[in-house]
Amino acid sequence: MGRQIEPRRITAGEYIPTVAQTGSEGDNSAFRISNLLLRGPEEGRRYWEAFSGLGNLGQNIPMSVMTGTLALTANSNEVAGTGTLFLTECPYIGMRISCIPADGSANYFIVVKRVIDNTHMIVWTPPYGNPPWPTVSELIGWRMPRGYAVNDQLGVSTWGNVIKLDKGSFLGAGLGTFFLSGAELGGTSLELSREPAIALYDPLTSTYTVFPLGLQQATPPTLAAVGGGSKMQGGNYSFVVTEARKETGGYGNPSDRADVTIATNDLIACTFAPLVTPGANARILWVTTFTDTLGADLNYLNGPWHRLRLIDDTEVPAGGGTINIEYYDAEVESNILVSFNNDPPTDAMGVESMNTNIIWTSVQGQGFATNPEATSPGPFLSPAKPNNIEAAPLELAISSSPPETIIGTIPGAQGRVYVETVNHLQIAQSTPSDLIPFIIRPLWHSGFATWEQVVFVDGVLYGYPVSGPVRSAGEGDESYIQHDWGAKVYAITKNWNPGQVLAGYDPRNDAVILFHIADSLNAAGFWTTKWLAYGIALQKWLGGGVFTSDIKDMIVTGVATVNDDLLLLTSGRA
Amino acid sequence: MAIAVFDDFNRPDNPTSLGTATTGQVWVPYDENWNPGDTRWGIHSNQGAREAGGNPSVGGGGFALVETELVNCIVKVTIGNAAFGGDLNNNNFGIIFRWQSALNYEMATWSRAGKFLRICQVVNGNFLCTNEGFPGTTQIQDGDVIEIHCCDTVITGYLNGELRVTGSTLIGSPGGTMCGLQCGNGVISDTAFALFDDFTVETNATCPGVVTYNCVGGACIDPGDGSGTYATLAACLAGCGVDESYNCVDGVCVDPGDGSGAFPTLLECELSGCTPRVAETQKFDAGNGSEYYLVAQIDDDGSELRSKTYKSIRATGIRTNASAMMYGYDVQQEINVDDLELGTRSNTRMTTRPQDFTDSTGVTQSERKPINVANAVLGTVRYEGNDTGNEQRDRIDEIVIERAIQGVRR
Repeated sequence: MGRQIEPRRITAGEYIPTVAQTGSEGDNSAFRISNLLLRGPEEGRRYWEAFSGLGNLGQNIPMSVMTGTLALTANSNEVAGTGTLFLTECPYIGMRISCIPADGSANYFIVVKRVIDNTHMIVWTPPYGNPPWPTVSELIGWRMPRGYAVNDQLGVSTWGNVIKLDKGSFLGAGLGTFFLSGAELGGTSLELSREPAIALYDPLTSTYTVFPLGLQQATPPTLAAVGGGSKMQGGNYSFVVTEARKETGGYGNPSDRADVTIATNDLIACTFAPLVTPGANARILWVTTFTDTLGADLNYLNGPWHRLRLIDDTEVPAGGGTINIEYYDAEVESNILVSFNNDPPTDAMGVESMNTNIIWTSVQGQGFATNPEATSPGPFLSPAKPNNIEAAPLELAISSSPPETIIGTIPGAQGRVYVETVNHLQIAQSTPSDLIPFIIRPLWHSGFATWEQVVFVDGVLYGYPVSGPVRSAGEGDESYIQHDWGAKVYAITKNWNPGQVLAGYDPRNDAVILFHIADSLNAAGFWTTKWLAYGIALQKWLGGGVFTSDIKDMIVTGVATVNDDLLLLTSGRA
Repeated sequence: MAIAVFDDFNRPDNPTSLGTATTGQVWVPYDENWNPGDTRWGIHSNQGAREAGGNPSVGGGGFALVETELVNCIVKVTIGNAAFGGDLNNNNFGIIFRWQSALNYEMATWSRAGKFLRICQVVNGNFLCTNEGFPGTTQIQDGDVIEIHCCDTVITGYLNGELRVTGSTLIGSPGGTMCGLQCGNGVISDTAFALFDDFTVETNATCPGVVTYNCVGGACIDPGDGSGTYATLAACLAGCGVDESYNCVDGVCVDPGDGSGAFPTLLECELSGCTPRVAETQKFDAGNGSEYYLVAQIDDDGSELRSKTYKSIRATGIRTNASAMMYGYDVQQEINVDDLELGTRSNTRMTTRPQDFTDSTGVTQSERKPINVANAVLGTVRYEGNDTGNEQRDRIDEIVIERAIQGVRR
């Protein structure tokens, strides 16, 4: 009875969960997928392949516990603290916190949206419905770390980031202990804070010593004429000195001047005071020339001062000492002149490198009553001077445009850094000018909820601002912004909490991966993370899956592309 | 109910001594002549044990008692050797309660001969079993629980929660406050033991006037309704004055029980960071395989009523522990994304069980279900597998579902 009809043939194709439920869809697509990825070179030759899962690297990064306790209220995005220090311990938008009661029976996961004061903050909630917590108090806050590439290794800290310099030292700012490939630095551990810091590498011992970046103003030397020279002509000379660090070549602001009158062929005995900057191990001497002395009014004693040379602690110890100086005018006349704006970098959230120039991010914000000088987060980028990485004068800082708190930064290509703010994705592009090293302008007119929400791959930006998935050409041409990039997966993402979305790039699969962290609780009561994969080469949604465990939370709190791997941090309650 | 005495007998074997109960009371053993110091009580395989043997003319056999400080109480014990004493014995084993002395006490014993629970008492040295209980047809078994409730002169006895004897006694209150175990002389052999487990004495909250205690603000208070945590004032005083405190021991906050901990509360201990919480570093798509599934839409009715039948499901590729299920949904009903993804709330399950795959899986005749629903029906197929532990990843090349149409109904 009956007759045979065409079989239903389902072949591998794009993951399209957003379709009409007519039953006629799906001959070469998947309606729902878990842990499968689309493979194959072209239509008609594709298949779905199982996801391998996560490979544990055996690196455990300790989470840091917050001061005081937190309280949540049902149906509210406000978090109250008792004895807490929100302005110090979680001041940055997008920080991720597990709120766990003392008995460890639950995890109320929150993402910082706005810190009001030390005991009040607002957190991100889903676009529809109520936040997933009851009224509960006396919760212990555990700050969950983030990850980033540091050259060819994974760097991890509570917030902020670190970059590696050419001789093995590190620069960084943010919060928490810095871990490199799962371990603290040997020697002195690098503790990130708002104050930019440098971890100096000693190749002889393979250890590090850590200092705040920047050098203090030097103490003027004492000069005296002594015989025994052969270069200098009789006259009046003026010196200034700057404290310096030989590993970076950086220096601080110059001392007051010191004057001396010599006879022809005298030496100038220069006695240096002790260095005052922790970690300073050199001085740079700046001098006037004989030619300058030809003016009768001695105006030349007020500069300009030419760089003579760096004198490190092997010649004159850090504690002070005397060295005899002589020079020909020709040795210094073409050297740079001392500047008076070698201020240490101000408070910052992180650091980037643009055309090898150091840029401190999210600076010049508002302080608060107990620390009015704490000026990060903020709306500015502050570049270091190209020839002095320990100096970042605020006169060179440039505001985001319009001025908005900077949540995160993503390095691009061709001298660009992408800047995530609360209302825009902005693009900072380098210029040839030393006075205006870069300019900033808006690109996407949609803001962000946390740092790791944009990736730059082969000239294209892929991101998840609060409005949902967006991609565009990375040159900054607004005509190429594609707001419907995520339309096919809207059925999955429509209820995602923007504060709980991270984006990463997986080179192995050549895919952009979107993670919705703490997506839902599994049957064992632990948090899961849901992920979607978009293939760059295929220009299709490849599939998706869920990270889940019956014995611990699987909240992805860090994503970083390191070499050819996408590395993740998973944490929460165990 | 507040527990006054509990003993699970979980301690090393000991042929001559019961030792100390779990809650700290010392067992006092008596022989069949009511002489203390009987060395035939001991521990055997984590149970209280009494050797066979004794004065056959005395129905009570041997006793082992603990001080409970309670008169109106509930006493219960699990029987470990229900055959002890044989079927000719009327006092095989049981419970002693309200013991004042060898001349005045009460007991409840099981009679294998009569298959009933009986209440007996000794008053001024005179033995009397006043209540024979309700004869049953089944014999007591290993693991059965004898339970006695005392409230003044009213005694009720239960076997595994079933009422088996009621009655009144002459002793009542005030009576003695020692309770314990009883066993007969044992006639089967000299190698048999009477075995007991989980001996419990607790307050009888249903008995009016029962006194229990709670520790409130450092003082012991009787709530007046028998609901207190502590059965006796002494127990309350012992625990009431000790504040909670915690030490961090190997990453766990532990209360030492004597107030000496470094942290005054569990919260402060946790806030110190005692419990180590870590983030793990993972590499994406570099594990050992995973559970996976795929859901595809396979059919609909359009605007016509049709009757379709599914004949077979065929999938090609590499599969491990793979199976498939087909579902049908009336899309005019309230179904959501999770339903379509998980197969829940399907009003027409087209296969009654997941189809495990070989090269071609036929849908059996009984499982070939027609779609014959008034409203538009959405059909889905859910294919799932698990390649965890495989070196090679599973793959799905194609899923083919053979169909037939049975006719058109308008």
